[in-house]
Amino acid sequence: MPTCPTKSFYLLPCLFAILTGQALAQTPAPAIHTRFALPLADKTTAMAVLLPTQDSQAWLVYATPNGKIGLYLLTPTTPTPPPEPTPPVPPVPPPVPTRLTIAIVEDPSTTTQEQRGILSDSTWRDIAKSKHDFIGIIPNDIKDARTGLPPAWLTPFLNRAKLHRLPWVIFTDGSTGIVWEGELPDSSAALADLISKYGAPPHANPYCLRPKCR
Amino acid sequence: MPTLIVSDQNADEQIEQHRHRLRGKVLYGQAGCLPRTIPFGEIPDVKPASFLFPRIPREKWADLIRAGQGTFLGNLTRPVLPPHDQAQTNYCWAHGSTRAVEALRVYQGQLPLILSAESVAVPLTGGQNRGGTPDEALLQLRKYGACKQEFWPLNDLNIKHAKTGWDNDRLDHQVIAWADVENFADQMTLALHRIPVAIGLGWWGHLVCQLDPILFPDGTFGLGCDNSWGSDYGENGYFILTESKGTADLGAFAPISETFSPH
Repeated sequence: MPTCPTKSFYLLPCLFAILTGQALAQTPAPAIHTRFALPLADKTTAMAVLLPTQDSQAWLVYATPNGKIGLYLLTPTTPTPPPEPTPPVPPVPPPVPTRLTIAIVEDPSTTTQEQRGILSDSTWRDIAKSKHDFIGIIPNDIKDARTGLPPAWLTPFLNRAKLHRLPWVIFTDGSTGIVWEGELPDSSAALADLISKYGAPPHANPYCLRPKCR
Repeated sequence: MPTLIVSDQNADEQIEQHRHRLRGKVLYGQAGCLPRTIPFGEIPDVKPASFLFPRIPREKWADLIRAGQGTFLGNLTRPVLPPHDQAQTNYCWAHGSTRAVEALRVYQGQLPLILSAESVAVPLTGGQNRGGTPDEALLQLRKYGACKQEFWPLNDLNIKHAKTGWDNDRLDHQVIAWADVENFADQMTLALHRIPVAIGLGWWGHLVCQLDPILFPDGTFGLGCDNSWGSDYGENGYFILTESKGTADLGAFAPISETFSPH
C-alpha cells in the first residue's frame, strides 16, 4: 500500500491510492462537485463527490455498493515547491602552491649514516634551493658566540623540533605558519615528493597574489 | 683531467713536483703541518669521533660507498667551493681546517663561503710564516671562528691589513662541536657520515681536508680530499689519497656543528 506523506502534495490522489490500492503516480485528481466513481480496495466501486468547505478544505463523501457512507475531510496543502536544483559545484582549485621555507633540525651526533645520505642528496636539495627558501640543516646545539644562545631567527625551528625525534623536517609558508612538519622520510625521493606536494613552484601558481609569486 | 691519486707509488713525486709549495718542509726543514701537541682524547670538550659515531666495520665500507655514490660530501662541495691556495705560506694547517668548516657549512645548506685561513692562523703566529698543528687550528676555530675571505687579503700575514669588522665576522663562522679522530677507521666512518675531517699527514708534512670515501676497483679504500694548493693541483684542488697515504698521523679533527650565519 502506498504511504501518504504527512504534508501531502496532492492529498486526494493519495487517499484514492490508499482506498484503491493503486499506485500513487497513476491516480488522477477529480474535480469539485462532480460525481465520480471511486474504486475501492475490495475491487468494488463507490460513488463519491467532493464538496468544498469555506476554509478551502473539501469533504469527500462516498457511498459503497453495500450502503456504507464514508466521509473524509480533505485538507489541501500548499504544494511543496520542487527542490531547488543543486547549484553546480565549482571545480575545487588545486591547493595554493606555496613558496616554502624549509628547515631541518638535526642532532649531529645522532643523525645516522643513512639519514646523512638522504640529507646530502641533491634530489631534494636542488628543489629546495631553486624553488623555495632553504634555511638549512640546523644543528640542535647551535648557539651564537656573542650571546651564548641560539640565534633568534632560528629559535622557532629549534623550539618546534624540541619534542620530536630528530632530524625533524619543517615546512612553513614564511608568514602564517606551519605547512607541514614531520620526521625525515626514509628516502631522498620521498622528501622531494613532500616538498613538491606542499610547495609547488610559485611561477606555476595562478592563484598566488603575493609579490614574490609574480 | 683524471683525478690525481696519491699512493705509495707516487708520493715522493708529489713532494718533488711541489717543492715550491712545501717551502717550509723542503727549504727550512719545517713542515706546514706539525704533530698535534695535545694527545688524542685529552682536549677538553672534544669527544673522540668513535664515541659519537661508532666505527663502521671495514667489511661494510664497500657496500655503503656503492650505495651512497653521488651523495658524499665532495658532490656537494666541489661545485660550489673553489680551492684554497696557500701560496708560499706554511698555513696548510689553517687552510685545511677552514676548508673543513666550509664543507660543513655546505652540508648544512648554508651559503657557500670561502673563509680566511689567515684569520685563524695569524692571531696565533703573530704573522710569522710557520707551520702549525691541527689542534691549534681547532682551538682557534672553536674559540673565535674564521672571518670571510673578503675581510682578509689572501695570504697576507699582517693583521693590520684585515678589514674592520673581521674579528666580529669570524664569530659567525665558529665551530661549536668537534670530534677527535683516532685512526683510518674513524676517518672512513666520518667520510661515510658526510662529515669533513682536517687530516694531518706526516709523510707530507701537510694538512688537507678529507671529504669522500673512495672504493678502488681492487677493493681497497681511499679518501677524496681538497688540497690548498690552488686549482692547478689535482682536479681543481680535489685529489685522492690511498689508505696508506691518507691515514692521519699528525692529528685529525672533524667539525660536527657550526654556527649558522644568516643568508
